[in-house]
Amino acid sequence: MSPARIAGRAVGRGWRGAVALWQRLPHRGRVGALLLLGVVLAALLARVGSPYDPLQLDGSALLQGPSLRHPLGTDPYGRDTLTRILCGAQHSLGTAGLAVLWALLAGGGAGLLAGYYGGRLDQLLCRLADVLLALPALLLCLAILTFLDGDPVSEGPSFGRRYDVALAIGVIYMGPLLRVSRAAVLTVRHETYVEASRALGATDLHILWRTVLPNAAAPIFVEVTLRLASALLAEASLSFLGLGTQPPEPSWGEMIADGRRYLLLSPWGSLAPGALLALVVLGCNLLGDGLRAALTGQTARAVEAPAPPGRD
Amino acid sequence: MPSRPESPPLPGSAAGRRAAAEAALHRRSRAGLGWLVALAVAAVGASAHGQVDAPAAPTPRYGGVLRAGMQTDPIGLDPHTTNSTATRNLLENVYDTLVAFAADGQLVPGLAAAWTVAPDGRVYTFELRRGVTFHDGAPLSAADVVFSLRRLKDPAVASPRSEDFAAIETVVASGPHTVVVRLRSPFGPLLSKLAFSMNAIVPAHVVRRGDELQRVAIGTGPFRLVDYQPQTRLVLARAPGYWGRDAAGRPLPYLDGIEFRFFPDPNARTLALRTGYVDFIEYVPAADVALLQRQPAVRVVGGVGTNFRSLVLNTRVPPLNDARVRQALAYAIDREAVVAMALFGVGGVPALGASVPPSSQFALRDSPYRRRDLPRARELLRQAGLPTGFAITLLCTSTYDFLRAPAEVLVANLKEIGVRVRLRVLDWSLFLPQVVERRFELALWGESGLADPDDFLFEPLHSRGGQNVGSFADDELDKLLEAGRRTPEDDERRRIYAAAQRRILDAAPHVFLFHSAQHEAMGDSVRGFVHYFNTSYLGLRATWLQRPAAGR
Repeated sequence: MSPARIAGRAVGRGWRGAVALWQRLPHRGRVGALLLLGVVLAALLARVGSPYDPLQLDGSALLQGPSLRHPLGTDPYGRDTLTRILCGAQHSLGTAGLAVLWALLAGGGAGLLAGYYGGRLDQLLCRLADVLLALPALLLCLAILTFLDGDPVSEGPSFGRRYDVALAIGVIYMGPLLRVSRAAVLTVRHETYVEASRALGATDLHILWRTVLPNAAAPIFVEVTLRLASALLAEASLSFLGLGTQPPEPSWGEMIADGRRYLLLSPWGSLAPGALLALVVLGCNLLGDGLRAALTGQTARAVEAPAPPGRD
Repeated sequence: MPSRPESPPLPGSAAGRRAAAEAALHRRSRAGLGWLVALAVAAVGASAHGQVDAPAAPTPRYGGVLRAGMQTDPIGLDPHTTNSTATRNLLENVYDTLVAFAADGQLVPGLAAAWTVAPDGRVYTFELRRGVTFHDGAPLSAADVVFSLRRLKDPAVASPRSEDFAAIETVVASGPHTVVVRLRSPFGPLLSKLAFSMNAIVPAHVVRRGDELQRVAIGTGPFRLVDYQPQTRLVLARAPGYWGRDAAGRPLPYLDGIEFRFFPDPNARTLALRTGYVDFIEYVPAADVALLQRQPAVRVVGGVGTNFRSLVLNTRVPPLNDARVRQALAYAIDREAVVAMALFGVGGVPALGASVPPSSQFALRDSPYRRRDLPRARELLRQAGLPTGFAITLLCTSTYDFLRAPAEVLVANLKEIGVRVRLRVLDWSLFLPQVVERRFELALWGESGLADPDDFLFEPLHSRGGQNVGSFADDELDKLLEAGRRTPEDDERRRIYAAAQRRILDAAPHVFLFHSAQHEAMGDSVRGFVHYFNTSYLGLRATWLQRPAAGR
C-alpha cells in the first residue's frame, strides 16, 4: 500500500481524529488553521461584539485615522472600518465557502463517478471539465452573473445576490475538483480491498461511500482548502468590479475598490480589507500545504521542508 | 456674477489631516456657506480686473509646452455632433465661437466683434472680426458662419444641440463679414447657446471638400491640432496668426503648445502632478483637493460649477407618481451629509433651491427641503397610504464618483422613514441607456449647463424636454418655461423662473442634492490660468509657463 492511503486512513473520525490530525499538522499548517479560525470567529462575533453598526452613518467621525475608538479608522461616511471588515468577512468567507462547497458536491461528486465507473461516463465528464477549464475563469463568472442577475432590460433567474455569486465562482472550480477527485479514485479503484468489498457483495454505492471515498479523500481535502483561497480572491475581484456583494453591505473587494477614492488621503479604507484578505488567503494556503503534508506524506517543498513534527 | 480668484479660500485649505478628519458635518457645511460668501466678495474684485490675469501679475513669458493630465479621451472630434465634455475641453482652444463666455459667465465678443438685436428680439446681426484665418490659411468669412449654423440645425448632421437652434428661421450672409440670423419667435438664450464652445464655427471649404470633422480639426483658435494618439495623448501647437490679444495688446497664446495626456484613474492624475510628470490636471478628485492644497508647489483653483445633481424620480412609477411620496423623499434626505460624506466637504455645495446653480442670478435659495424634516416626511408617507414605507431600487453609476458616493447616504437616510432602497450600481455605458429609456425608479443623475436658467430647467423638466428622464409633466410649468424662453427682459424672467422653480419644488420630480464643484490643480510655474464656471478650459488661452519643463 502507498503511504498516501495509510496516512489517509490513519487519521480516523470524530474528535480523536481531529486531534490526531492537529498533531500531524506541520507548524505552517497550524498557523494557517489558527489564522482562519481567528478570522471566522471574529466575523461571527462582529455583529454582536462591535459597538458600531456597519451601515450606520456617523457625521461626527468622518474619515478618521486609527484610534482607540476606531482601531482601523473610519470611512468617509463615518462607519467603523474594523466593524465593516469583520462584517465583510461574513459575506466574503460565506460566499467563498458556499462556492467551494457547491464545487465540491458537483465537481467532486462527478469526479468520483467518473473515476469509479470509467468508460463513456468518464469520457463525457472529463470533456465537460476540459470545457470548463478552457474558459477564462473570471469571464465565465461574469457571464454567469450577468445571466443570473439579468441585463438592464430584465431581471434574470436570480437566487439572491450572494447565491448567484457563489454559484458563479463554484462553476469555475468544478473542473479542477472533478480532475482531482477522479485521479484520487483511480489510484484506489483497483486495490484489493475494493475488490474484496465487491466480492463480499457490496453495492456500488456502499463501495464508493465506505471504501473508495475515505481512501481518496486526502487530496480532495487539500484541493478544497487551496480552492477556498482562490474563491476568496475571486469573490473579492467580483465585488471589486461591483458585481459581488452589493453596497452598502460591506465586502472586502468592494471596500478595497471604494477606498481607492481616498487612497491618498486615508489609505486605511483600502489597506485594511486588503491586508485581511491577504492574511486569510495566506492562512488557507498554509493550511492546505500543511494538510497535504499531514495527510499524504508529501510536501510541496519536498527538498527543504522539515519532517512533520514529532509523530511516531 | 461671482468669479473665482486664482487662489480660492476653499474650505479646509489650511486644515491638516486631523482637522479635516475631525471636522464635523455641520462645521463643514458652515465652511461651505462661508465659501459662497467668499465667492460673492471675490466677484466684486474680479469684475474690477480684466478677465485674464491676477492683479500685479508679472509680464507673461512666451514659450514652453504645457503638459496637462486629462481624465479621458475625446468622444469624437466633430464639435457639432458630440456633447462630450472631454471633446469640448480638448478642442475648445482649437475652435472659436461667434460670442464667448468670460470666466465669470458674461458674454464677450468671439468671432463676432459686435452684434445688434432688433427691438422685436427676432433679428440678430453679427459683424465678424476682420483678418481672422483658419489654421490652413483660409480667411474666415460670413459664409463659414452661415455654413456652421446651418450645419448645427441640419437633421442629417444630427447634432444633439439642434433643438437649441430650432427657433432660427434663416441664417444669411448679408455681406462678406456680416451675418443675419432671423428667428421665428424671440429666443432669449440664443447668444448663450451660441457661446457654447462646441457650437463652433467650422471651415466650410474643408467640410465641402469631403474632409471628416471627426478626423481633422481646423479652426480659428489659438492652437491647432497636431497629433492625437487614442488613450495616450492629444497634442496642440500654437497657431500662428491667431487674432486674440491679451489686455496689454500682446498676441495670444503665450504657450508654444499643449500636450494633453490621459489618466482615467483619479489617483494617477493626482500623483502625476505631484511627481511633476504633468504641469496641470483637470478634475481633481474631491478627496485630493485638501491634500494638494497642502503641497507648497501646487495651486488648486476651482469652484461650484454650473450644474445640478439630483435624485431623479420616475414620476410614472407607483408610488412615485404620488407627489406626497416624492415630497417625503425630499424631506428625508440630508443634503449637508451628502456633501460632507460623499464629497469630502469640498466637492460641491448642498442644493438650497432647485436645479439652477447658486452662481446664477435666477437661482432660488429657499427650498422647503433645505432642512431635513423626518416627522414631516413620515406624515406625508402616512397621508399617501404608505405608513410603513416601501421598497425601491436606486440606480447609480460607478463611473462618476459624484453620482455613486451619495448613494450610501441616501440609502441610510431613506431607511429612517421606512423606505428600503436596493442599490444597483452600473457602469456608465449600461447606466446611461437605462436612464434615458426611463427604465428605473430612482436614479442619481446630474446635468450641466452654461449660464442661462433655461439650461437647467427646460430640457430636464419641460414635458417635452429631451432630458426629462423622470417623465415629469406639468402644464403650468411648461407654460412658465416657454414664457421664460420668449422673454428677453431680466426682471420679468426672474419672476417667471422663480415661479417655475417653486412649482418644481412643490411637485418634487427631482430631489435636488447638490451642485458639484470642479477643481483644476497645477504646478506653481503655471501662471495665468483662470478657472471657468462652466467647466470650460478657455483659460488655457492666456496661460503661460514661468519655467517650461526642460526637454519635456
